Amino acid sequence: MLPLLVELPPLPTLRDTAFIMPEIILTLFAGAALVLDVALPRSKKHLTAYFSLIGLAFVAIALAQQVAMTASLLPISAFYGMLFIDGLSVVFRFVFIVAAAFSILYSIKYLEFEREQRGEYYALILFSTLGMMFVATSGDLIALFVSFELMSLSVYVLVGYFKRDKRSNEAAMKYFLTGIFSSALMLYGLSLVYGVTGHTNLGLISETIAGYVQGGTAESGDPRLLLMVALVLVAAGLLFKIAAVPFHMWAPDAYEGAPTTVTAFMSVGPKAGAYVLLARMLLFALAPMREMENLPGWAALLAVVAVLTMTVGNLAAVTQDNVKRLLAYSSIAHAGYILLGIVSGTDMGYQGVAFHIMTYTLMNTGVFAIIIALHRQGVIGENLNDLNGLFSRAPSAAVLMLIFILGLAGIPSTAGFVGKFFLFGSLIQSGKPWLTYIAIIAVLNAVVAFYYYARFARAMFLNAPSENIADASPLLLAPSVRITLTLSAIAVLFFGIYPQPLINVADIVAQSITTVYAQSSGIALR
Amino acid sequence: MLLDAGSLLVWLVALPLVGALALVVLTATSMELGRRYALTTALAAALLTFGLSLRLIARHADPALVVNAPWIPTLGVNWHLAADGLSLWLILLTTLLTPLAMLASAAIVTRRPAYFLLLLLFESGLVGVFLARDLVTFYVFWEVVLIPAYFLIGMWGGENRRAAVTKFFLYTVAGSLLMLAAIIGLYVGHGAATGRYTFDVETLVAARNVIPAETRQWCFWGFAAAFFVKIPLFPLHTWQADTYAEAPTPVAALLSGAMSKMGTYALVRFGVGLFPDIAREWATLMLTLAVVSILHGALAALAQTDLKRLLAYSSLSHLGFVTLGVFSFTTYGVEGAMFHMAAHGVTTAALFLLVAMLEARRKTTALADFGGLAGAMPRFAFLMVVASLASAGVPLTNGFIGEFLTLLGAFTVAPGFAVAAAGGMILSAVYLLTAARRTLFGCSASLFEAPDMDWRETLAVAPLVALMLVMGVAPQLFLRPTRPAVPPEAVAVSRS
Repeated sequence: MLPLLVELPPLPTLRDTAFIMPEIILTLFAGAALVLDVALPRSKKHLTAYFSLIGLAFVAIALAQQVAMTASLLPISAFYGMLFIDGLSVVFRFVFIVAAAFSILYSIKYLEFEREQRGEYYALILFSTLGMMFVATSGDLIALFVSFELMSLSVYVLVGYFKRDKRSNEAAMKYFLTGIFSSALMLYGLSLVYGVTGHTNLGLISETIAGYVQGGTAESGDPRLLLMVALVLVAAGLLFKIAAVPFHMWAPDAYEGAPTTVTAFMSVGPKAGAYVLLARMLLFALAPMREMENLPGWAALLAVVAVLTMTVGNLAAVTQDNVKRLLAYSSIAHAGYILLGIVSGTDMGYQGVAFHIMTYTLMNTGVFAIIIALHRQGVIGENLNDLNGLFSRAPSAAVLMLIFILGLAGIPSTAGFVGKFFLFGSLIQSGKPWLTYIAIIAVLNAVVAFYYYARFARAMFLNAPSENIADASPLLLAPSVRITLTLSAIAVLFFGIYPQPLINVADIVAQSITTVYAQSSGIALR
Repeated sequence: MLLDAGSLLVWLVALPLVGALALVVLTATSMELGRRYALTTALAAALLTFGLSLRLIARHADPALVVNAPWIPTLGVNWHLAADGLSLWLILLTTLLTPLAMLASAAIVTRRPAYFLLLLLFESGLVGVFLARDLVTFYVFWEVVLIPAYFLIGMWGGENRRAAVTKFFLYTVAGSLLMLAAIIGLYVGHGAATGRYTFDVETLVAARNVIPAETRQWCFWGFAAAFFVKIPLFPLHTWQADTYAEAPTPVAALLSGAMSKMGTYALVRFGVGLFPDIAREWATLMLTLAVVSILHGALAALAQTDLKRLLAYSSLSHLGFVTLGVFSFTTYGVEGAMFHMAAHGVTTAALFLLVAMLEARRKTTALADFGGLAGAMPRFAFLMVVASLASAGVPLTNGFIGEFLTLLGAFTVAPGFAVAAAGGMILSAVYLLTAARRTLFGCSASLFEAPDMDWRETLAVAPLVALMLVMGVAPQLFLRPTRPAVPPEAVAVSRS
C-alpha cells in the first residue's frame, strides 16, 4: 500500500451538494423518463412528456433557491472550483429550462402524429438540458468539456430520431461527423491551454494568461504564440456550435433534416449553451487575450467572424424557400448579432447578449411551434408557400406567427428590437471607430433581414391560400400549446414596450461578466 | 390623475390602441359592428384632440401638456410626450382624417374587422410620432406606423399591391434604420461629452454643440435619409406613386394626408432642431431637391392617366413646397411650411376620398373611364371642383396661403429657386383642372349614370372642403398658434 503523500482536501460537503440540486433532480427525472417509457403501454407513451415537464418544474423550483445567492455578484465555488455559481449561470439555466419545456410541449402532438412517440425522445432532451446546465456552472476545463459533450451527443441522437426518415438520418450523420471533428479541435485547443498554463481551473488559467500577456516571463520563448494556436482551435470548436461563418455549413442541412421539434430545440437550447461556453472561455479563461500587444487578440478575430456571419446568414436566407432552411440562416445571422455584443466588450453589449438570447428563445420556439402545427402527412408544411393565406385559414395562428416574426426582424415595440438596440448600440458606445463601422454593416444587414422576414408576413396575410393544400383540417394546436404561444407573444410585445424588467435580468449577467471576469481572479480553489 | 393634462396626451395615443385591442377581442363580430365600433373610437379620439387643441390655442406653450416618465432607465430612455403649436395641427389632422377615412371605406369588404383595427393602430402610431420628444419614443412610433400601413396596403390594395408594398417597406425601413444609427450616434456623442446619457430631444438640442462636429455631420444624414424617404423628396420618391396607387383609396388618403407629414414635421423638429448649422450648410442642395421635386412631381402628374397616380405625384410636388419653406430658414418660409402641411393634408385627403367614391361606383380610377359626372352627381362635382382649386392654390383657399408663404420665404433668400418653384404652382393648376374637367365635364355625359353622394359620403368630405375655405379666408387663426412654437434654430432671417 502506498503511503498518502499528498494531504487530501476535505470531502465535498453537503453545502456543495445543495448547489447542484437542480442538476441532481434533472438527472433523476431524465433517468426515470427512460424507465417510464418501458413501463408505459404504447397508447400512453405521451405521458412521459408530461412527466418530463413536471421534472423541469421541479428543477426550476430548485434553481429558484439559488437566485438569492447571486445577490452579492461574487461567484460561489463548489467542489473545489470544479463548479461555480454566479448570475450568468443562474439566469442561463432558467433559459435552458424554458427552452426544454417549450420544446417538449410543442413535440407531444407532432410525435403522436408521426407515430414516433417514445420516451427516449424526452429523456434525450432532458439529458441535453443537463449538459447545458453543467456548462453554465462549470469552472473547470474538464467539467466544461464533458458537460458540453453530453449536451451535443444527446442532440446528435435527437437529429436522427426519425429512424425511417432518410433526411433525418443524413442530417444526423452530417451533424455528428462535423460536430465531433470540431469537438476534437476544441479539445486539442484546451489541452494546449492546459499545457501552457498548467491549470484546468478557469480562474487560474485567466490569472496565468494575464501574467503572460502583461509581459510576464516564461522560461522558453513567448507563450503567447502557443496560446494563439490554442485560442484559434478553441474558437473553431465554439464557433462551430453556434454555426458562425465559416463553420456554418452544417446548420441548414441539420435544421432541415431534423424533426421540426428538434430543430426548434437545437436553435435555442444547445445554441444558448454554446454561447455560455463561449462566454466562459473568451470572457473569463482567455479574457486577457482580448487585445494584445503586437498580436491580434480574439476581439479582432471575433469581429471578422461576426461580420461574416451576419452578412452570409442574411444574404443566404433571402433566397431560401424552405422555412426550416430559412430559419437556419436567420439563426446564423442572429449568431452574428450576438457575437457583436461580445466583441464590443461593454456592459451594454453583454446586456444585449443576454437579453437577445432570452427573447430569441421565445420568438424562435414560437415560430417553430406554428410550423409544427402546420405539419401534415404528405404536406410537410415546410415550404414558405405552405403558409399562403394562413390568415384566412387560421387567423390566430397567423397573428401569433406575425408577432414572433416581427420580433425576429427587430421591429420596434417587440423585444427583438430592444435586443438589437443594445447589441448595435454597444458597438457605437465603445467609442472605437472600427466598431462604429461594424455597427453600420449590422444596420444594413438588418434591412436585408427585413426583406426575408417580410416574406412570411406576405405569405400569411397578402397571398391567397394555395389550392394544393386541400385539407381544411384544423392546425395541430393543443390548448396548452395555444396558451403557451399566446403568453410568449404577449411577452415579446410586453418586453418590447416595457423592457426594463428583463433588462434588469440581463444586467445580472452583464454584471457577473464584468465585475468578476474583469478581475480574472478569485475563482481559485477554496 | 387620470384626467390631468399630461395623461391627456397618453390617452390620445392609447385611445385608438384600446379600441384596436377591443377589436381583437371582438374578432368574431361582423364587419358592420366592427366598423361602427372603430368609428366611435376614432371620433372619441378626434373629440379629445379637439379639446386639447382648444387648450393649446389659448395658451400656446402649456407647460402642463407634458408627460415625462422613465421608460428604460438603464439607457436613459424616457417616455416623453408633449404637445405644442408644431404638433397641434398635425394631431388634429390625423384624428380628423381617420374617422373620415373610415366613413369613406364602405367599399372595403372583409370578413373580419382587421381593416379597422389596423386603421386605429395607424392613427395611434401617427399621433405618437407627432407628440414624441424622446428620440427612442419617436423612433418606436415612427416604425410602428409602418406595420399597419404594410398590411392595409398589402391586404386590401390593388392588383400589384405585393410588389408595391415590398418596395414601400424596404425604402422606409432602410431610411429609418439609418436614422436609428444616427440616434445612437447622437446619444453616444452627447453621453461621452457630458457624461449624461439621454435621448431627450430638448437636452440634445440645448447641448448640441458639445457633440463632435464629425459625428453630427453623419447623424444629420441618417435623419435626413429617413425623413426624405417618408416625405418623399426627389430622388427617394420612387416608391410613392406605386404605393399610393395600389393602396385602398381611403388608406391612400391617410398616407398622403397624414403619413407624409411625419417626414416634414420631423424635418422641422428634429432635422433642423438638432442640426441647424449643418442643415443651413446644405441648404442650397436641399432647396434644389425641393424644386426638383416640385417640378418633377408636377410634370409627372401632367402625364398620368390614373387619378390616384396623379394625386400621388401632386403630393410629391406639394410637399416640395413644404421642404422649400423649411430650408429657406425664414419666418415666412417655416410658418408657411407648417401651414402648408396641414393645408395639403386636408386637401389631398379630400381628393383621395372623392376618388374613393368614384372607385366604389365604377371599380376603376383611370381618367379615361370618366366624364360628364357633373350632370349625374352635382354634389360630388361641386366638392371636387373646390378641392381641386384648393390644391391648385387659388386665392381664398388654403393652398394659396401655404404656397404663397413658402414662396415668399424662399424668395427672400433664393429668388431663383422661388421663381422655378412658382412654375410648379402653374403646372399644378393645369393638371388639377384638367383632371377635374375630364372627370366632371366633357361630352360623354350619358356614358356614366351613378347615384350622387349619400349622406355618409358627404359627411366624409364636406368638413374637409369647409376647412379648405376657412383656412384660406382666415389663415391667421391657424398661423398664430404655430408661430411661437417654431424652433428658433429654424429661422435665420426673421421678419423685419
